[in-house]
Amino acid sequence: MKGTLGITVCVAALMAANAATAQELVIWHDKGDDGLAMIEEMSALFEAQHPGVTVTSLSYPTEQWFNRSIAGLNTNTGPDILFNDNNRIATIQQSTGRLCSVADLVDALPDGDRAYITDGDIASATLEGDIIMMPFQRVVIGWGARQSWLDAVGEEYPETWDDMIRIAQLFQDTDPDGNGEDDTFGVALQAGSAPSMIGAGTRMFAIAGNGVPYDIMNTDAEIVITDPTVADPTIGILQLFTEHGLVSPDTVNHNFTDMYQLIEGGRVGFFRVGNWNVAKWDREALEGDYVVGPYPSHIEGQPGHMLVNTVRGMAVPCDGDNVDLARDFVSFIVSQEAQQASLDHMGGVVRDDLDISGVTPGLTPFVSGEYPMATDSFMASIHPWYPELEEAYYRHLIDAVSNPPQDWDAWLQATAEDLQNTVAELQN
Amino acid sequence: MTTAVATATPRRLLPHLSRKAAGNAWHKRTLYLFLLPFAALTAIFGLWPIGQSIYLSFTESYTALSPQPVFVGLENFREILSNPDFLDSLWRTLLFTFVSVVLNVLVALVLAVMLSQPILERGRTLFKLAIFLPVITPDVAGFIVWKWMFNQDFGVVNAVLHGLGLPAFPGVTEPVSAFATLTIVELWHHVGLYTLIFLTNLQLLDRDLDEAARIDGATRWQRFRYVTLPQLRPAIIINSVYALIEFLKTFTVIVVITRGGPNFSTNFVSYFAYTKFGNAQYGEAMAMATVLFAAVAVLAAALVWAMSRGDYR
Repeated sequence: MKGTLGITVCVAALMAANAATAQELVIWHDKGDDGLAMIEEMSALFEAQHPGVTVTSLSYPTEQWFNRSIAGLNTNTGPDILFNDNNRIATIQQSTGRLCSVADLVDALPDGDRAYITDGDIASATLEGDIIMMPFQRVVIGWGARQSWLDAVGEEYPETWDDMIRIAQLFQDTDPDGNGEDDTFGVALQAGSAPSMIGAGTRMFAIAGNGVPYDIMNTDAEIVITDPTVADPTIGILQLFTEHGLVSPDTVNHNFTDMYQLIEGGRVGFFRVGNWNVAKWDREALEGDYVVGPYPSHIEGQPGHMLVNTVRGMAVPCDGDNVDLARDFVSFIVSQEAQQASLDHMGGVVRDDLDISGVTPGLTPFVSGEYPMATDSFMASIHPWYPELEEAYYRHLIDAVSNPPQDWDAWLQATAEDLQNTVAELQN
Repeated sequence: MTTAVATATPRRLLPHLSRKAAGNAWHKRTLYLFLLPFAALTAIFGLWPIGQSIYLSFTESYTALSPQPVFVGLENFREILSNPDFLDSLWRTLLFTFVSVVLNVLVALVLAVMLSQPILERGRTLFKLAIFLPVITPDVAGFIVWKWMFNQDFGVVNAVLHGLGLPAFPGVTEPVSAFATLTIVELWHHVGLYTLIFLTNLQLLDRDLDEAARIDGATRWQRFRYVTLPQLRPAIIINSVYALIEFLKTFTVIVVITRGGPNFSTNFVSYFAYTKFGNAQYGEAMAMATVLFAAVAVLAAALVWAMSRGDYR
């Protein structure tokens, strides 16, 4: 009896001691199952270095993540770490001001880790001069085409915009899927909102296709949409809706989920491919029947690029219960082993020294370095009002789709002047 | 003499009435005690969020959800009311509401009158069920089906029109037709409830009045216009006010089908405010919601007043 009692007391004491030393970091994000699995694996790796520490994560729909994060940080009931795309982290900081600078952590990274973080990554992680998140996943976007459709129309992957228009017309006018129906479209786009039409449209073909640094405004707050390298892809995209009619008519209201239905339903030939899409599209939906490459260029002789569209990172609220441990973890996510987990589960990384032998064919172009990579200018990091400028620009773009102008150049000129006035107002 | 009594009576009775009222209140203390929890719940879950949202409309967006919101007075209201996009959204909301209220009440009235005809005796339950089912169908599921029906690539609406040799309907791909599409979908979703209310009232009509008018030689239209319709006035008021409130707040159908497009043609105030949350513009979003709340309250009160003014009863 005495022995049993003693064992019970010992076990209870051990459990109490363990509870006293165990620590849990909580991360909030919106990355779904892939994000949960990645953090679970990172947690196991981190625990090996920090015994007794577990890292758990909760994934919310994006809007819930926003509202919960802002409310949580403002009332000291938030998580230890926030994980999301740079623009969303920036919005949280603008709404709360409660994210701590991680500039010292970036500086303190081992040289072997720090070397992989580029100036573009730092720019994305910066808001008004302060680095507010540790960048660790680049969201890379390329241009995709249905391989079987290219074969059916006897074409290769397009290098120029004109090639793409010609092939897209074939996709639409012939019956590339061979089902005997006139039910295919040339190009999948989305135009239901500013991020859809600009972020996933005009920006792609200007910055990635033509390799220019800006798509609406430069760092001096000058509107650049009349520059031919930006004007050509901008008008080109609008004409996909009007003169060419190479997109589904419903595209005017599409966001990414509608666009995915069109792509995954096998009814469109050209489409945007993000490195987060390929895991699904390689094994189901498209079943690997696509080829990914750089965005077609408008400039004769200049190759197109793939685009680093956003950068994801982790940010640490200053008022958390485990700030020091959270800062250790966000330093850890750039390590080789953590980056391998990131690659394996989400396809996005900042390092290029990882084992890519296991990646799927769809993901290979994103990590192999075979195509030149352009980087977004992350204007919202410099000018917090930039999303409002995009909203204003979107109104012009979607209005041009509904009411196509006779003279596109004159329309672009008038739009540029109006946007320059908007910039002046926003700066004030 | 009569005047003197009339003016003197209240003075004499007032103290007595006050004492009586106080006594009644004391005697009803048990009733008030039982009502208290529900009154408190109503205040907490009904009135407090409304008050809080109005309060937040006077605060700076980036501090709205913080423990110490920064008070900015009418700045958010000045901002939205000087924004042509908001005024355009408000105008579209009012136009949509007007069209939808008139259409829903009229169609519901016609349907109710048709369903009350003796000739439909046998199939009445089936028709009533068919008209009421959309009301109890989950919003989102119904709207998604409508979205597919109007799809330009494989939608059944254009397939039927094509089969009949008619031109295609642009659905939600063009501003005017998108507005019309939402009107149709919302009619489908709501008209059953208004029909049911009319139908119930039609069954309660005083048949003697109709009989008397018939004996006096009134035509069918005259009997409907001068006998039936006046008796339906309470139902018309209820349906109109409820429809007004419902359509001013139109939201789910936009989220599911158009997302405010194309070219902002269906960007009604509720949805416009919702999109502001995405950019953390909470102050402006709450100001929009407050303007909408005020519009609903004022218009509903005005409608009740206008329609009750000529009540013959």
